[in-house]
Amino acid sequence: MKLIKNILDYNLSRYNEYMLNRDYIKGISKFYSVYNLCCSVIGYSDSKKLVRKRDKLFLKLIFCNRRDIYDKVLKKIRKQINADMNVVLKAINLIDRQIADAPYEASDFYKDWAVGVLAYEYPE
Amino acid sequence: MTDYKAVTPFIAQIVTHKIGLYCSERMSIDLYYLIEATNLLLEDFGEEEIRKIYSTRKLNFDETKKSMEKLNKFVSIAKGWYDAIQDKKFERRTEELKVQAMFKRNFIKSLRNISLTQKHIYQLFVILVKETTIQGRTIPSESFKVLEHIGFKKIDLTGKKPIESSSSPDVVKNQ
Repeated sequence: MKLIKNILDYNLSRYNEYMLNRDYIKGISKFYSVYNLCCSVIGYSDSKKLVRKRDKLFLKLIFCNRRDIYDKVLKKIRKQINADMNVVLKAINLIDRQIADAPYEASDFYKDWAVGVLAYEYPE
Repeated sequence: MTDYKAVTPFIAQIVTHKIGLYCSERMSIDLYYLIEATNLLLEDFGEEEIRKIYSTRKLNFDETKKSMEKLNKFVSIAKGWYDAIQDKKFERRTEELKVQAMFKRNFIKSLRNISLTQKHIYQLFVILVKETTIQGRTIPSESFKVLEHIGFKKIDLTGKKPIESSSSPDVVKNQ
């Protein structure tokens, strides 16, 4: 689960950077890639109605030309993100517990540098 | 004790690299690399094995496969338009080539077919990671591509008036 933790940490830091730089569309798409991964980790799935609502709001934000509508839609999406953040937190807590509880580290036994190294035959 | 399947070293290297690219991308282009990584892991793991795991968890693998094929089709179309765009920052510009504007427009239109919530691909990816030794690997830092400079926004000084040079006061020498 170290790999998934790695992915979540990196993606969440990118989400924070995008939102701080006011790149909202990129930030929202980044957050939902984190959210999808977390839903799969804890085995949670959204209702079809919520999925459609989220997609509709996101497309409205992308294709919006008017400032006042953009701000309204952004506010709604931020509210949705705050609610969805609970799922992300649950998943991160679960992964941390699993990493801590694992009696051994399940990984490959070879060294990374060993892959691709040519074997030479020594003279007799 | 759970048995983890060992991933071929070569495949593991490629998969971690693809996942690094997945983390670097956004706006549904990341799904392109995730699908590639998942397909590689699936080939290494074996479809028959995954079907057994899916049946024990009462999940439908055929539905997952169908959804992945559909998603792959739409993501490939979006990536085709995205690769043609020169300015990946998507900044609003007053002067822009018609062709570049057309690529951006078509890329954004292609996002209509890709949902924000993707259940099947992520479910398959997480199951494959949990069942194999790839779960213990870390993504190499060179796999994370820097697409644009992220940090504080650049301060634009072009709109401001230049500072007028003030005339130096006459120095009165005390004689």
